[in-house]
Amino acid sequence: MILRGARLIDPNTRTDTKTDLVIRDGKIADKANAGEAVIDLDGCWIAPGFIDLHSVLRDESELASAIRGGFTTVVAAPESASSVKSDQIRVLRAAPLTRGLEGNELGEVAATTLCLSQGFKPLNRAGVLRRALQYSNRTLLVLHAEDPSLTGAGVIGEGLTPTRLGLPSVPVAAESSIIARDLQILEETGGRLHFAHVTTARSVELIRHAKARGLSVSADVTPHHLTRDTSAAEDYSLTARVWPPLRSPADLAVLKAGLLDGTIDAIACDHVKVDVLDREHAFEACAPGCEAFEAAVATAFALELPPARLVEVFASAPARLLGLAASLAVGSEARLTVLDPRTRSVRGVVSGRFNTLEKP
Amino acid sequence: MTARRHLLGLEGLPRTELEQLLSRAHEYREGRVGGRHLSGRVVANVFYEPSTRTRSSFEVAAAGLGAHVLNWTVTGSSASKGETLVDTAKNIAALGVSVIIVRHQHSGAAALVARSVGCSVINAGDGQHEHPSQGLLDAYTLWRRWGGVLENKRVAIVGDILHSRVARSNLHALKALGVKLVFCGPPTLLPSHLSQLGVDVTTELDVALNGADAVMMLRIQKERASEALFPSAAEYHQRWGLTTARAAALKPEAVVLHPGPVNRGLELSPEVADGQRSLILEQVENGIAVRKAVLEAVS
Repeated sequence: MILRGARLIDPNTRTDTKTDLVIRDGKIADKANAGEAVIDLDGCWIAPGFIDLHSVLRDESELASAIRGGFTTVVAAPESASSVKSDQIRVLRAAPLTRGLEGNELGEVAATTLCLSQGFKPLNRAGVLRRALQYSNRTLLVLHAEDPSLTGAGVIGEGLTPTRLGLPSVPVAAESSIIARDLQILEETGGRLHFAHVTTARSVELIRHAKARGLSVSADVTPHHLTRDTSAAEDYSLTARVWPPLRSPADLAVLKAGLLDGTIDAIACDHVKVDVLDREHAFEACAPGCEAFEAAVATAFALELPPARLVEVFASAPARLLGLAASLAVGSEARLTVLDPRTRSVRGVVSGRFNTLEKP
Repeated sequence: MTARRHLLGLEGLPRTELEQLLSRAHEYREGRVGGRHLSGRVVANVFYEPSTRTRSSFEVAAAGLGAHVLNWTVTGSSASKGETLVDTAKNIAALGVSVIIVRHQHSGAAALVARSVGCSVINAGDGQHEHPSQGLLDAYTLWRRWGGVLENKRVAIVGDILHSRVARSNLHALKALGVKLVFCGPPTLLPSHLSQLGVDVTTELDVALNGADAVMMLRIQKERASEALFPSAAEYHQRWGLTTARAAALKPEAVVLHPGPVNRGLELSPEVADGQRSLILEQVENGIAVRKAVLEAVS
C-alpha cells in the first residue's frame, strides 16, 4: 500500500516533509513493489499513531470510537473491563497504583508494567504516594489529584452558573492542594509523576514551576476540559457532568496556554461511556463521564496548535512518557494516524495490517 | 392569564407575569373567585423529601380547585428499588394526571421531570436551586402588606444562602419586582459569585438590617454545625439570629418573614417569631391562594 502525497510530521525526528509512505505486511517499507495499491492522501498529514493515555474501556464498541478518533493505541485505565481486547489497534493496560485503587497498599509492579495509575480515585494518604515513588523508581505514576474533603458533595467548579442552578461546587484547591503536596514529596523521593486530567490554572502554575526546578513531572488535559467551562451546565446539561469537574473560562485559558508551551505534555481523552440508565437522574445523581475519543482531534485543531505540537500532544509525548516507540522509520511497525487539516478531522489510521484508509 | 405549562423556577419570569400571578393570588385570597377550575383533574404530589407544609398547602389548594390529589410516596418505594427519576415520572404521568408537583433533593430534578412527561410540572423545591411557589408567596405576602408596591423597598435575606432554594427564588422574584436586596449569612454559607446576581452581600447582620423594610430569615439545618460550617447553634443565634434586641432596632413598620418551620431560638427568638412584626402565619395562609393561582396558570 502506497500512501501518496501526504505531509509526514514526526516531531521526534523533526520530520515535516511531503513524501510517499509504503506499508507492507504491517510494517513501514522502503520502496514500493510493482502493482501496489495507491491511496491518494494529497493535502493530508501522516503522524505517528496517536496514543490515548487515559480512558475507561467498558466494552469493545468503544474501540471503534477510538479508531474513528484516530487512536492506534489506547491505555486502559484500571477501572476498565479486563475483557476488552482488540485485534485492530493496540490496547495497553495501566496497572493499579494501589490495590483495588483503595489507596492503602501498593499495587504489584512487574517488568512489563507500562505505568501505574490511580485511575479516577484520589490518593488520600500522602505516605502511600511517598512509598510508591520510592518503590517504583522509573515507572510512571499516573495520579488523579483530588482532596475529597474539599470536593465534598461538589459536582462542578465554582461559578455563576452553578450558583444560580444550585449545584454544589468544588473549589480549585481540591485539585491544586494535592498537586502541591505530591510535588513536595516527589522533590524528596525522586521518581516520575504524571497528573492526569488537570483542570485548574493553579495546577498548571505548580507544574510549570516544578518543571523549571527540574522535577520529573508531567501532565495531561482532556478535550472537554479544554473546551467546556462551568457554563456548560446551563439547563442542567449533562455535557457538563464529567469528572474531574469543569472549571472557569480563566482556567481554560491557562490550560490552553499550558498545552501550547509544553507545561501540559499531552491531551488524554478520559473517554468514559456512561450507561443510559445512569443518566436518567438529576445532574448531581448522574454518573459522570463523556465519550471523548471522537472529539479529541477536532479540539486540538480548534486550539490552533502548530502541526508539530498537535502531533506531539497525541503521539510523541505519550510515547515518551510510556517508553513506547512512535516512529515512521522504515522497518518499524506501522502505526500511524492520518489527519485532514482541511476538514480538521481524522482521515484514518493504520495499525499493523489493519487500516481504515482504504474505505473512507 | 397566560397559560404556562410548567413552573420550574422564577428566574427569567417577566415582571408582568409575576404581577399577573400575584394579582390572581390576591383574588383568591380575598375570595373574589371561587370556581372549581380543576374539577375532574388529577394532581399528583410527588415528594422525594419529607415535607408537610408545602405538600399540605398544595393539597389544600388543589382540593379547593376541585382536583383529586394523588399523594405519591417515593421514599422507600420505587426510589429504593433503583427506578430512575425519568422512569418514575413517566409512570406517574401514565396515570393520567394533569399536574405533577415535585419536590426532590437534587437541583434540576423538576426540569428533568418536565422534559420527561407530557403533563404540567410544578417545582415544589429542587435541591439548592429554586422553590418558586415559596418565592411567589413571599413576594405576595410583601405585595399585600405594602399595597402592591415593592419598587425600591429594601429586603434582607439572612441565613444559609448557599443551600437555600428559597433564597434563590426570592432573589429572582423580588429583584424582578424592583426590590433592593441584601443577602447576609456566615461566610461559609454564602455561595460564590452571589454579588454578580445584582444583590448586596454582607456577613454583618446589623449592616443587612439597617434600613430594611422586611427581613426574610432562612431556616438553618442544625446538622450544618457538624459540617464545620459554623461553630455552634448558640454562636449562630448570637451573630446571625434575629434576636429581640435586633428586631427592636428595625424600622418601626419593618416586617419579618420565615419560610418555616422555624427553629425557635436559632434563626429567630421566640418573641420575634410570635411578635407584631411577624408575617409567618400569614405566609402560610397566603401560600394556598398563591398555589391556587399557580395550579390554575399551568393547567
